Amino acid sequence: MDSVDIGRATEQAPECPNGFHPLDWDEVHDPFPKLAELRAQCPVSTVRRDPIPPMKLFTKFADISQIYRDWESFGNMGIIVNPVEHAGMAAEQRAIISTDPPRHGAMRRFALQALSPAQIDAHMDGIAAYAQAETAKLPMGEDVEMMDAWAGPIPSVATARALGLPDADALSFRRWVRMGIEANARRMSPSSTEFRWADGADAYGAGMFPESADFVGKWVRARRAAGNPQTGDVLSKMLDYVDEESGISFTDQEVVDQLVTIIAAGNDTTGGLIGNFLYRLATTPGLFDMLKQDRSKLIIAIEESLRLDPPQMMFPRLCLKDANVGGVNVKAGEVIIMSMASGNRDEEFYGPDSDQFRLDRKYPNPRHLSMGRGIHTCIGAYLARKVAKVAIDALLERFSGVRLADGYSYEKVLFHHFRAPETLRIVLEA
Amino acid sequence: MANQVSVNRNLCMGAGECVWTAPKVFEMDDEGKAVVVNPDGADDAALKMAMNGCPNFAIRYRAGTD
Ligand code: HEM
Ligand code: SF4
Repeated sequence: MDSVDIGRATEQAPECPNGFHPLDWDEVHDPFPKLAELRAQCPVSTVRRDPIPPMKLFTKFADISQIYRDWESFGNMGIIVNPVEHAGMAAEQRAIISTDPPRHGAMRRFALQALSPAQIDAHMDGIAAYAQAETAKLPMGEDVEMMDAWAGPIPSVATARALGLPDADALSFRRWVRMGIEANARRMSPSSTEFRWADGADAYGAGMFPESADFVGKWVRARRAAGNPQTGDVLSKMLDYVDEESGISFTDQEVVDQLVTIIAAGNDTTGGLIGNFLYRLATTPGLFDMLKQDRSKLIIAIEESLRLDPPQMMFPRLCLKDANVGGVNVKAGEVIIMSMASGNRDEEFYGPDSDQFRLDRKYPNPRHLSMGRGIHTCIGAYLARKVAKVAIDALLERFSGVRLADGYSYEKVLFHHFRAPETLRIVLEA
Repeated sequence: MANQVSVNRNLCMGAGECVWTAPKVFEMDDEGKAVVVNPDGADDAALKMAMNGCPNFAIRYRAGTD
């Protein structure tokens, strides 16, 4: 009971009063009205999904910040919400995102070799040139599905460049990441029926991303077979990495797993950000022109997009100790859910117009919860923001406007965890 | 001697956790990176928390001697 704050009044978390469920993908198509109700009436509620024990759903910015920052009380479980499944994984099998300190630190320093801001900066000219070339291929005045044609491939190639993998391989990242996500969606939301990528394939049964390990594995095996010559590139450093602070080093299999994690974590999320932004450009009068004229506003516009349309809408945590959050006691062993989709619109933090896309917002620090907080703060955030910026910049440069194609309406990806267009049909104006 | 606090700009990703923990010590600059404005603007516990809470291990801190 060490960390219970007995000075605060505590309440129980009532059953969720308006039927919102963070694990239902059809429910979360437009989760925002119900989340606003919860913030006002019942900021911490209980939601249920067998066989997971009852979960507490947190909707306030301050509560989510507290949970994110207190890694000693709240352990990471990745996007896996089921504590039994999480407990069944050995330390070496866990991705960085579901690993707690001290191993987490070693994995993070390992990944920073590819993803530190200085590393990313060195690749940005090349990534910007790629984004411009892809943008130049887009037809004008026609109905184009932009997720497959543009918003998907650019982040894949950017991640591959950061990791030192060939562009050609990168173009298959999206397919296997989407297969893994859909298979996972099928398992967590039994009601889901429509699939675009994983239909008929129980990809999850063979591991989250069955194709990927082999894909990345072939590069690692080739390096090993050649004695891993130290060429100074990221992959050669990663293969012989020893973490100075902890003495931890990684087997080739663990290196492969970590590379797969980075690819999986960075692709759909960044594609989702670019897609969400493009949808907003196409549906917000005047926005395209304003940004075309004043590119300096693009950085803040990307933050507003991330805030209002978080590519990852929620993350779970496993309580490691008893604690008190927002006046509610949580007990060791419980699963709790942080709804960033809600915290990002918390009126108490952003004011009464928290639902509005505004470029003149006086941002508090940090700007939103979409990249996480605390020691697990998205390690790809720097890359994701830069990639989104060069992609959108290229679009603003080349075209004079965007609009939705006739008959198109926003169609969210089929997974509760993500907010991104599944498809996005756009017409680009000359 | 004053505290020694520094931010490695090659690692800082602008997460802002340090500014949240010790707002008198750290500020965000125009490039979105943290800078040290007053190394003595927080107590030892807060500075350690800022150092250990930086997701990218960008902060170095050595306590000053009075
Ligand atoms: C807009 C795009 C992105 C969003 C919204 C996003 C969101 C997030 C969030 C919320 C977390 C924290 C998870 C938690 O605390 O439980 C996270 C962690 C992570 N992200 Fe991202 N991410 C994005 C892009 C990327 C990219 C481009 C990469 C890699 C190239 C990446 C790799 C990772 C990794 C490896 C972690 C785990 C970090 C750790 O546990 O220390 N992400 N991301
Ligand atoms: S917490 Fe670390 S990464 Fe974040 S702003 Fe401060 S120094 Fe930079």
